[in-house]
Amino acid sequence: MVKSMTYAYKAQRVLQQNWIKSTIIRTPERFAQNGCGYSLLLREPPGKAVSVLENAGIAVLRTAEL
Amino acid sequence: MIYFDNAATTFPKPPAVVQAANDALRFYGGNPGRSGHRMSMAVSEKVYDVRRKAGAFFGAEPENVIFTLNCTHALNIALQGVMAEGGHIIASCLDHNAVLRPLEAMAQKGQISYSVADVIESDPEKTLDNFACLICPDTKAIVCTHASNVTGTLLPVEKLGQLCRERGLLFILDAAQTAGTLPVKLSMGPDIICTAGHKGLLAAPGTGLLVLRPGLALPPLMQGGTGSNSLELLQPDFAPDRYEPGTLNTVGVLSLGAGLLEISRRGVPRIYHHEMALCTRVYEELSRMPGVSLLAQSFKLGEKAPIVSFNLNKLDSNTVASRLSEQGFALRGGFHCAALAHPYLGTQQQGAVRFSPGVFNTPREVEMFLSTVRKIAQGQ
Repeated sequence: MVKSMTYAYKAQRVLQQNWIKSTIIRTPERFAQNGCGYSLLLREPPGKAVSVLENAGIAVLRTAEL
Repeated sequence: MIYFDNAATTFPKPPAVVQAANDALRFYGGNPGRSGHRMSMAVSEKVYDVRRKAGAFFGAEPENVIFTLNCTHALNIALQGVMAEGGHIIASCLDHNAVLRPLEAMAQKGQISYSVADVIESDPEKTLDNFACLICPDTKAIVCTHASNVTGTLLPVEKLGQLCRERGLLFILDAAQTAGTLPVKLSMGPDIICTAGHKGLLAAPGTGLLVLRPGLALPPLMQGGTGSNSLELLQPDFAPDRYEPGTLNTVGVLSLGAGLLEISRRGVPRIYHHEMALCTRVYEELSRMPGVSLLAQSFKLGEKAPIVSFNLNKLDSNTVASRLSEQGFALRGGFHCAALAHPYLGTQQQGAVRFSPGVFNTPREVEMFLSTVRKIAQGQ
């Protein structure tokens, strides 16, 4: 989960540059603590992606398994 | 009609800009950042791409690019945000009312005080001194236009940025007359850049930009829905959502993306040199024409934005503009929303006729214009 749609697209571009595929989705309500938000759906464990995003200064609010 | 009123808004718009606005209405009708369906996601991605392009253009991160209604809207967010807790701010005598009226309104409510620095044409050091002399212990910021919308005179932006850094002040730059025509970057010194989308950036009217340096947070001017943190009653604390409540002008934003692409394709230096060449021809010819008075004392590359203002004899400037309109030329007369500039220039009675070419104007159009001005000056 990231802060907003803008961060979701920024994060997706950063992940693409690191050969990590992702899909932007609305955060499922059960994970959205503060209401509406956007997340990146990954087909692999999130560890590497989180590390890449944090190194790029993009805050990852939470990770969860669907 | 031959259009020379590009300092007010550029016309015509490039075909790609028209196409982008058309596409926005036809194919990108969803609400960006609000839903998860394909239409909403498609326009969200388009909006993000424009944010990224604008960020690259001004040297900012995409999230620090805020879409506004116009430059006035951006300036109001900046000025009312920076001065929310009071203090003193310095503006310039050439500033637009988009700067001066918010400051005057806050001053009249007793919230802030402000001073006005004189801009000395062709003497950036003296101009810089005039700003520096007005700094006092409670000064929080300097705000100024990059270029006068009346005379085209450029202010020493990089030096003012350095002054602000040295004195711990915020620097707000009004780039309405320069973005798209001259380089405008955060790295030049401003903490905040405010600009119009519909002028040099060639986008549709109803577009503006507020660009923030990293880490700078202001109180928002408006609150409302952002599509993020929807269960919280407080406005999000992160950009751009903090400053963009309500549905975005996607037609305008997508047109702005096309405008930025067009400018990149043409190149800012090439645009500047083209428009300045047209202005130089007008300035030199008008300076030789009997009965014509020019507001700027000189006209040199690097000292001016592409604007030439003039008067004919003692004729009211709007009368001259109307005569030109009858002959097929669109120019603006009057006072150009610059409450202090005209008194400073001594034209508070007459105003001025403003010639401001755009990327599509040609030397032939300029010659036709000069011939018409000559006839009006001769009383024909």
